[in-house]
Amino acid sequence: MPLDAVLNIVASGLLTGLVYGLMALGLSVIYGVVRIVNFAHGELMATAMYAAVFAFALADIDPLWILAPLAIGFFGIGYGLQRVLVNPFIGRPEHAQFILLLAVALIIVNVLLVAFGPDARSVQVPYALDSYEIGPLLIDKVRAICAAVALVTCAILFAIFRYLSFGKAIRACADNLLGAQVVGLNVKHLYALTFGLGTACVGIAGCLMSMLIDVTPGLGPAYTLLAFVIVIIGGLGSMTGALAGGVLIGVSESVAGLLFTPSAKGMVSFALMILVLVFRPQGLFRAR
Amino acid sequence: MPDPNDTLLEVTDVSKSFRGLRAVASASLTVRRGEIVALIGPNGAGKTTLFNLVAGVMPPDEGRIRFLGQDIAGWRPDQVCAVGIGRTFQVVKPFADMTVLENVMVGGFRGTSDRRVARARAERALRDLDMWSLRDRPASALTLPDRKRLEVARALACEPQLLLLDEVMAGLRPTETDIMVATFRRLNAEQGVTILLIEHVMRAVMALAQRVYVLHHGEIISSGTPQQVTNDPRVLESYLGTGAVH
Amino acid sequence: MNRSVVCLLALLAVLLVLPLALDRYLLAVMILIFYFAFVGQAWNVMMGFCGQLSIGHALYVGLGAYTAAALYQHFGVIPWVGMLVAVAVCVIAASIIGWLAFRFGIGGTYFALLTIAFAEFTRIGFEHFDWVGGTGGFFLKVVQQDRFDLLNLRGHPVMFYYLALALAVGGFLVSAWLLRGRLGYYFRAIRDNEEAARAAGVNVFRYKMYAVQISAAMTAFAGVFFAFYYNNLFPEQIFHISRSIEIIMAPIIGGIGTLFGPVLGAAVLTLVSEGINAALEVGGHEIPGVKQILYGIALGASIMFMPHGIWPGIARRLGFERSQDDEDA
Repeated sequence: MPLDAVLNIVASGLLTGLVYGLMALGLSVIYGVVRIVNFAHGELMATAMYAAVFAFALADIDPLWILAPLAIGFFGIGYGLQRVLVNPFIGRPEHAQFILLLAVALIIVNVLLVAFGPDARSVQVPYALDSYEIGPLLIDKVRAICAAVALVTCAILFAIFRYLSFGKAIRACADNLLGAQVVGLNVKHLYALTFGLGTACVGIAGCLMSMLIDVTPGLGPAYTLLAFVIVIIGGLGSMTGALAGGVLIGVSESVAGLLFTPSAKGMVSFALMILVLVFRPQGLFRAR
Repeated sequence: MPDPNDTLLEVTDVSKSFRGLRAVASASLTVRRGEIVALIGPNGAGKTTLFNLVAGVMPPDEGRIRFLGQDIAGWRPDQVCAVGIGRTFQVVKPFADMTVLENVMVGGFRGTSDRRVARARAERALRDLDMWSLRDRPASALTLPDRKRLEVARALACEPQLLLLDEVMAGLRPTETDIMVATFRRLNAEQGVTILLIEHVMRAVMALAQRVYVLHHGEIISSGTPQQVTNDPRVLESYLGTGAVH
Repeated sequence: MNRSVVCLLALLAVLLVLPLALDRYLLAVMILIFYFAFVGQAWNVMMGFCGQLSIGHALYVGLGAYTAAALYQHFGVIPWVGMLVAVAVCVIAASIIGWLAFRFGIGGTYFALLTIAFAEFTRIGFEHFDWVGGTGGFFLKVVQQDRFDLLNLRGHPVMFYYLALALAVGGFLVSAWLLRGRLGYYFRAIRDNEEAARAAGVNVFRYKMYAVQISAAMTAFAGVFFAFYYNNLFPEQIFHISRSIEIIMAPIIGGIGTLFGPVLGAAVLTLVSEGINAALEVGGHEIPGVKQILYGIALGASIMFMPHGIWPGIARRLGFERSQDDEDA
């Protein structure tokens, strides 16, 4: 196999991986703070993908234009979801939370199925077949743009948590809940904000992903699982880990598609997760 | 009558740090068979950490812990229980969805899979603590003093040689405290149960303990009879601060 | 004799003679109820008794089914022997998953995710596993249905009715037996408070492993039944997460951790499901997904408003008290 082709495949996987990383980041942020296993994560991503598909089918709108409204909309969805459904479950046993979100996921997937049907949909922007030439590499323009947006979003998120007061307040809740409450932070509100932020990430990631692959309702559960695999590999609660894990998975999937049959690609992420759990269960980017 | 030659527990120069903070610093203590020994000290002194080290919740960084001559440092909690040490928790941990009897039977199954043996042990422990009439009540429906007694009953059902009690009197009214004290004295006198207890409630310490160790900033700063220790200026200083003692 | 035991025996008597009054369709419905009652009880051992959430139980159904089916179809091994191999395979799988998850005492989250991941991994794997048909499916030779070939598990639906009933009863008896002994007490202690369980002498790792292994072993039997009753296996179907969700719905709605909850839940769920199917057909629409939405709502509502399931409330009304320990001397 010529080196050029391999490099292209790796590059392609890397770029897709950044979008995966954004998706996983949303999950990691939620889990790191609210300590809820958001089992509906992938389904929310699928919803965002369908939203992009819908906008495109309706009025030929390039998904990039609806990124901002989608992000805001999903922020609201996340906030509402936390406040209304998840909040009463915070003190309840883990399995109850899991099952609640599982139910939500089940409903979302099937609503999508009923609304859009099982057939694959896609978004074909006019520049879908363009590419950039960088040395020996031939990079899809769409993929490059998506990766760039994903990176920018991650950077914004990092900045929020580092510099903005409510970002720091959220981190305080994550580090020391009792302390945060004692100091007077409105924990419920902050939890909802966090959920909103995480869901906004997923909304953006979904919008981007709609330009990269075909959308089916079954992607929901698949992405939930993928997000968790990435977060486990990267380390629960580590933001860099989520990004790095996403890239790792993206590249591995691409390479695996090359070496094995494409349909076996799905097994790669699981195999990696099992390896990590055996040898370094805290994740690659987290100290024990 | 405590036999000075029959040492149950021997903790030697044990230390434990958490991320640079020294919780326990070269602490040593011994407990002989049949004794009631108290471990006291101001809040944050490291008492529960020391208990947790003995009980196997975490391994010590340095030092030795010997029980009946066996080195048990770093053993798992269930192994420590199997060798004869029962413990209660400062914040009670009942099995909420099980009845009182079932709770105690969990302890009773230690070393046996015979349900009748477990039940007999549980019955004995519950009667010792005067809780037999509550046996079918769900543990979640108990008052705090009853939950504390449940903890003790469960630990007793394991038929331990040494009982570690972590602030078992906290939150009890004086009358309830007296009842607990009387119970422990009875268990100690009639069944020879050896007890090491962490306690803040001085009333209980003075009434129960034959010997006392005082822990401050992770170090044992004094030991002796209750009278000796409560008159030790170093101990008074640790509780009241320097300058309070002349 | 205990009131609840009398009622159960009466129920059993009714179920034993019921086939005389049922047509083929209702027979199939009852078989479905027994199947879900059994597999729900198997899951209940792990979750209800021990508190370990598995959302990948379809893995064991699938492994059990394929093992017994492959041994029968390729080597002529009778299912009664194939069953034992199926159990072994499932126990090994469960042990791997348990070991990975419980080793460092990492939270229940990891375990639940692992169960899903392994089921998915196996699903994709079997889709490429041509020796047992791959995506195209694996088919058992179907023989005439008016014989009762118990040895090879081929025959009339009535035979399967009694087999399924035997499974459900067996599951109930195993669960009851577990609850009475040390295993049951230690499982529940782990579920309620791991730290306190350790202090009381429970080797938490070892007993968690027992819980998942027993649960997997029981589920293996369900898989074998599935294979020989339906006679066809598709990886996309049998390992799919929807199967796992179906498995957990009955115990959750009926009552996690109780003995009769999964059974009641299975009955309620199957009857309601058939009712919905009938209603949808009458409406003229067979829209894929509508039923699942209703399932999702039912699951969500159940966990929100009746987290203990419907059985405990009913049991109290009927006067069935939990009296495991006052029964004996």
